[in-house]
Amino acid sequence: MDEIFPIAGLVPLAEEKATGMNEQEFRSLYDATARPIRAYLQGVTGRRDVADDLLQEMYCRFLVRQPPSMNVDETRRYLFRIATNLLRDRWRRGDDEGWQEIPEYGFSVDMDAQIDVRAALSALKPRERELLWLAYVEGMGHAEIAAATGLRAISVRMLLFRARRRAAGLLLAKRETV
Amino acid sequence: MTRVNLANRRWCEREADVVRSLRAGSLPVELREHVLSCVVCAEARSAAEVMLQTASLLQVEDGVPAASLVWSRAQVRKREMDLKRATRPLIVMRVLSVVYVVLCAGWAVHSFWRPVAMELASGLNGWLNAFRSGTVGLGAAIALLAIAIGAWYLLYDGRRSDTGIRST
Repeated sequence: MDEIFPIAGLVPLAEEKATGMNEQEFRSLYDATARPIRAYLQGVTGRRDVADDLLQEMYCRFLVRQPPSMNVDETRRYLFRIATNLLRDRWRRGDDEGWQEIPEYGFSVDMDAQIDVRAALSALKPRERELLWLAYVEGMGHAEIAAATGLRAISVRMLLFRARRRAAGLLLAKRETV
Repeated sequence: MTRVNLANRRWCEREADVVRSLRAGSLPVELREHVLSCVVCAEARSAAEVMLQTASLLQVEDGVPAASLVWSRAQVRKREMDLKRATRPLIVMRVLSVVYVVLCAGWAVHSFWRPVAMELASGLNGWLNAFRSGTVGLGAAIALLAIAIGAWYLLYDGRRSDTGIRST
């Protein structure tokens, strides 16, 4: 956790200094963070093409903004924050209203469980999917979620409680109808 | 604790343990028993399972876009922003020069209109006399000429910079 990505660079001279990070450093950051953030973006939007676009846009913004030096955890939270802001921009524009289908993956996955998951995710609001993903897939605490979403920790607690209750209720209702 | 109180609970100190175990892939017997008796943890378990199943479905997919592609895009974007930032003072100067020219023109019209109108009655010679009468008129003429040359240079340079940005 002590690894520092040298992002700062007040007077850029060469191209590598212009972004505060050279290509090699960027590659190691990308390898460490791209997959979970792409999964987050796809999990929340339900669309792979959108997730790929937003992922690229997120790293572009990160490199262009030149944030100060951060450790790995801070950088990860900062990237999730940019990703969340990009998702919100799309929702404000009305680009992503509903959750799209996850493609099927043959016989390796329990189909009943898959149907339950799809139904529950489709019924959840984007912000609920966002909070549940960060809490349960990324394992973030309330303070970390607050940092990654721009919400206050107290609001995160309340919103997460509602989202959790709603998701559980949707799953229960789905299983009772089957 | 009554049944109503249990249903209204919003948090449980063991919720984090339950989520951690689910993320690790197995729920110990002790926590499993706790989940059966705790509404909060039961809800957390259901919600976490939905999200973790989705995450496991997404893991089956292909890899992320190449890092080199993202890096190149960011470099192009950075260069565009640097160019825009560099030309921003020129845009400000261009606007200021236009404002200055308009103000000078207004001042010139206001200062010379009355004498000129009066002298025009006595012919063109009178108008020239009115313009020559003070050093102010000469100063204003030189200032206007300098501004016009400066504005032309800024416009020319600005157009060249815009072309540079588009071709990057």
